[in-house]
Amino acid sequence: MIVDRTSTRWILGAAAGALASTAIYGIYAVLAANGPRGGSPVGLTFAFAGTAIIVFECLLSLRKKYPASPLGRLKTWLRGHVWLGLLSFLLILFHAGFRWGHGLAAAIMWMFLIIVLSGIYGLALQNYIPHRMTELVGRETIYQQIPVIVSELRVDADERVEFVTADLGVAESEAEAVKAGGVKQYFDPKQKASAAEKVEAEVKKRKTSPQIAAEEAAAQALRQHYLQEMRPFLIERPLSFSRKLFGTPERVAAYFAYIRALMPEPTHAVLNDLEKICQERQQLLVQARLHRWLHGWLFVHVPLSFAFLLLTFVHAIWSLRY
Amino acid sequence: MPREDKPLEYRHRVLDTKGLAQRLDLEYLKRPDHWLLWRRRLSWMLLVAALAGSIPLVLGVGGTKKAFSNGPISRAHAIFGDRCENCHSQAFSSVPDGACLKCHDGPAHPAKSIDTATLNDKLPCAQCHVEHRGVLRLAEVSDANCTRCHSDLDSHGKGVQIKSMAITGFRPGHHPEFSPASRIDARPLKLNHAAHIPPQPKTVNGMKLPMKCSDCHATDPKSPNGDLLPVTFEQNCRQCHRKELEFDVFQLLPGSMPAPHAKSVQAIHAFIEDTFRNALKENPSIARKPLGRDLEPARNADEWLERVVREGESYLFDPARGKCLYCHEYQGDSDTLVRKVGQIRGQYAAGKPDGLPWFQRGEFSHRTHRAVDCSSCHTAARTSTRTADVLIPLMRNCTSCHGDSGTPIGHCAQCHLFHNKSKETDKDRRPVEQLIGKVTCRGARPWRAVPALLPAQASEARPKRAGQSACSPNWLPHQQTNLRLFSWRSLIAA
Repeated sequence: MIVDRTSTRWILGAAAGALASTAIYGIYAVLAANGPRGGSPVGLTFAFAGTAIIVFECLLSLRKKYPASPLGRLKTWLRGHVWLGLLSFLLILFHAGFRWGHGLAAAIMWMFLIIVLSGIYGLALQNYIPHRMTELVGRETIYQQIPVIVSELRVDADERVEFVTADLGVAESEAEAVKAGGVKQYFDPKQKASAAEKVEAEVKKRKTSPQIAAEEAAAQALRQHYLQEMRPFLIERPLSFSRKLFGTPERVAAYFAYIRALMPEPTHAVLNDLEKICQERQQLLVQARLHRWLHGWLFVHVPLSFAFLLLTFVHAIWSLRY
Repeated sequence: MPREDKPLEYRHRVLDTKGLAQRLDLEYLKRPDHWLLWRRRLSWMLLVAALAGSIPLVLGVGGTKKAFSNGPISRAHAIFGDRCENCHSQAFSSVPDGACLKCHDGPAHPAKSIDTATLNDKLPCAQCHVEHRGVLRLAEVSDANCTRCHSDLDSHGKGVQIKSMAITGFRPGHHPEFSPASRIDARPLKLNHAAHIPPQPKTVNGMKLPMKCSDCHATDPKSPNGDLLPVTFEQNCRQCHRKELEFDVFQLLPGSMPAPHAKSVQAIHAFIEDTFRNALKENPSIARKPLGRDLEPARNADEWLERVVREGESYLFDPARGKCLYCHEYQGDSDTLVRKVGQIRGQYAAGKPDGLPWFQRGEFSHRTHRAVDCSSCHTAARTSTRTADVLIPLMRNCTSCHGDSGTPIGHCAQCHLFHNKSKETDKDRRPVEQLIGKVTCRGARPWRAVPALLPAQASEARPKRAGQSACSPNWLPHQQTNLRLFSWRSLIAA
């Protein structure tokens, strides 16, 4: 969620709530004979308000499950989640009289602190990483599509190298997928068969003999460089060697500049395309890394929130019992 | 060149919008999202773990009830351990007074019998005595508990004496001046403090002056408050003032012989007569010598005895000579010549030999102030020449250290009591097992339950008899002398 002018009303509302509750707490703390206590009527009011907000916070997961729900826009829920969540922590601190408590109370206070801090951390990341991703990843795609795109890149690279080296001897099993972007449909079976034959003939021809004339030694050198260095980078989880070799756009450019210096002129067109493919793969690696940063904090925030909610109810009922 | 021999045309990589879109798999939403999947699994795992962890807490298995405790309980209640139900006898309610009154008496407020006010509302015990705050003493209630009513006594009680003062703290204008400031010491005795503690050292009758305060005002070693022992002639005055009791006008007796510091004239008369009779018996020739400036001796022993006793008594009792009246006030009674002084301790009250305490509403401990020089509080003592001067410090003598002086020692409960200890019964002297039932090993280990208990104290608290376990339900550290759960003496001492 990006914090911008559209959040102003929520920020002002939460700030007003914080100010009002601070004023109430201040008066209560001054007047309370034995200091602020969680079990006093005012302390319990703070607890009730804080818990109500916490329940609302946890309902966000439910709201996300039903995107078409009429209960307000998801963006509105998210804004409420952020700003009311911060207010709820203040209310719970007022409830506790700024004491950390003992036993279960201390445990849930620690959990709440971690949840709030992870939420703040996540909010900061969500306001920073998308900008950074736009800068670093020109060919950004849907995160879940990255394995598909990588596979496409690998097949494309194989085909282009085979223009110089003929058959590379690597078999790529193409996964079944419904491609987007409009695929040409043949309603006449004869036409379909003819098109398939044409493609097959092209593949056969490419694999049989080099289509770009180059010295045998140069073709072998390109084959070795491709199979040992470039292709291992074009898999879903490249090894650290490949990640280091093509870690940054500058390294990719330097690598291909060096290869171009070794290779004869006719192969440069292929090398230029391979450089673009490796650049895109490098960007997808950056995107995957940023995506993990962007969403990794949820592994702390969400599971802990549900456990926290349960323990809050246990704490509330048994504290009132005693 | 035939068409089939013509090499394939190499097409450069161009990615247009369509090309980009064609790379995407439309079915990706149907495939499992590993991130979401693991997040959900982790959520469920933590939820189940929290639920599993809550069950023993809720059931109170293995002393886990302490997890719901708001904080460590006070030292006095550490013996209860995790038996929460001892106090929290009613569910979803605050601790009822009945739970406290099982062990404590909690006599009524006001604390002092001289106060005539009665409270409009009865305060629950838990309103002032807040538990679960660690090893703090429960009797140390915060000032706000007191000032809640004392800032406006009229509206909180009937028969209030101090009506005009809103007591909100210990500082001038917010607390009444100590009552001794408006009184005089009416004790029928002549005492000049200034003469005993002159500014310049000197020697009078062999006694080096100035005296120290503790020469006369000694603290009672048995008193937890360090109350002062009464000043007595025998203990504190005789050494210097024995000459005031001498009666041997004619210097007939070997050495000086003071009369007893008795209250009865007859007793003194009998002592003088016996003394001279014995002297005459031992040495009958002393009756044949002229007495004083007489030219002739007494005609017989009886006349001699009658004369020396009369002269001795006259010397002692004559108001003009100022022997007894050096200190006492003349009454002229046939039996008691001087007015009755009573015990020289506290405030003089006619008809009350033991007197009254100077502070009638507050408590004061000389013991806790033993590090302070006497004159720093009793500032008027060095210049006081009259008995009527009340040398009890004024409030301003206290506020240099207490109240608003910036030191943290200025709580109401440090000087004042809430409960009237004179109405306290012996309820709290019963053994603890009679009060709260059988105390079992679990949670009844004071040396573990009380973090503030020093190792030395803990070793003392442990049972020492052979064969008796520290966890024995029959043993409690206080039980040998019957547990006194709450003691006003200890309150004042602390």
